[in-house]
Amino acid sequence: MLDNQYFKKYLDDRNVDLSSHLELQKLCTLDINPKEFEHFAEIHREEATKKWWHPRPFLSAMGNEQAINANWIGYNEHNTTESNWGLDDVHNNTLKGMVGGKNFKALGIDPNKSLLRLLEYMPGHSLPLHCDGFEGFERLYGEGNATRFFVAVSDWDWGHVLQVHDNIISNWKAGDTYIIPPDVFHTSANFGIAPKYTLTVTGVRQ
Amino acid sequence: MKLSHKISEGRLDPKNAVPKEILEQYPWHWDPMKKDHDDASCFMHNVDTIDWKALGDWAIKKCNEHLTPQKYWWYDYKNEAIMHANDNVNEMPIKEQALLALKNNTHNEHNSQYFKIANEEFGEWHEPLKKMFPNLKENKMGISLFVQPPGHTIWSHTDTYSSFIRRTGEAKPDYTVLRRYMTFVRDWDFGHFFHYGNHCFNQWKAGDLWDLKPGIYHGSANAGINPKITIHWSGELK
Repeated sequence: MLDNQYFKKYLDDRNVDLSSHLELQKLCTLDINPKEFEHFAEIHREEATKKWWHPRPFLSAMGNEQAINANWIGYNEHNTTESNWGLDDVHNNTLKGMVGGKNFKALGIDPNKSLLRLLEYMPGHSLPLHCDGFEGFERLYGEGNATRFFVAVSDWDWGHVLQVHDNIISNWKAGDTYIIPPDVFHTSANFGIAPKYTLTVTGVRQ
Repeated sequence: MKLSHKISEGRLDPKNAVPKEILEQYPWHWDPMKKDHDDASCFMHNVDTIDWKALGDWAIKKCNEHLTPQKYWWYDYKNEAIMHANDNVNEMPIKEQALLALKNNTHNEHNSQYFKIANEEFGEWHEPLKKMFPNLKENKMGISLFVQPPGHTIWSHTDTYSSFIRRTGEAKPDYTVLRRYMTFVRDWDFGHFFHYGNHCFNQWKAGDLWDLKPGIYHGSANAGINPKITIHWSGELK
């Protein structure tokens, strides 16, 4: 039924051990207006980048290997579709304006050297287990040594969850921010009835 | 992959879709932001009288015999029917909640699949599993094991005991005497999510037993790489 030997080997090769604990604390709560981001998604819906989990030519070898392994065990366009905004320069600048200088200061990153993406996951869709490749940031700024932040855009709703190694992140308030450490496997899901909006912020901490 | 429907501008409130008698008999806070709740108090204890590893392995083997998840949810727009696999459940009390998840929403037959093993299909496992709950009437009791593959979810809902109603043939359930219990068959793993009200489970152990008190909104997902296996007992109290 479920031939997950390749994904298991992928994790084993990287010594991923769920029985070891990763300490993860909330970094801060940004002062954001959820309605502003949800409205942005609504009015720019036609311009969203829609993607689902599968290999793509611009991903790193690591990213593609993770996608292949996920597809092999049943992840596809029906359960991993994401709409996102921010890869486009205009969207990225608008999102940076919506986040605002005070919040960038709280994150400790330079807004001029950052990449923001607003993610929308509809009910029934998940982001399969993976670790980040930072390909988008590297393409933009020529370096991959960046920090990835998870920012909750809306107050928590039932069925909205994020797992970072052995930590379940849930029950958040809009603006709650966590650092996703590099090379740490994480996954998220929406099994509620409302869309899940989150923001990923990537930048070099000063 | 354009959506075929508009996203609701206002917040969908699932409370409005729950049968009135459940809301009256089992009042609950219905506030996802509430912090001072006791939603986690339904944990009972760990059951070590069953060989959960052997049962889990047996269940996977049984699923592998046919490779076809028997259960999944979808909305039949042509016939305006809520479908649970091949069953039209329009007349079941789950109807209004299912409409929220399925009609003009994105839960569907591609992301809600699970394998189900129920009652007599348990073979030699049936008797020991039945004996775990002497407080339930033997002739008014159902046991189901769900194997949820990666990439699939069970949308958040409040139990209305639809399968139990179908099995017993009762026209109208008496929620005051119905109970549901749940055990995890394998230890917690990557991407195995379960929210029970405002409590999100983690680090569970095989055999952990939960009293799924009626009236509390809950759901689950598997965004990991291994199947998630749970067993559910539904029945009428003696």
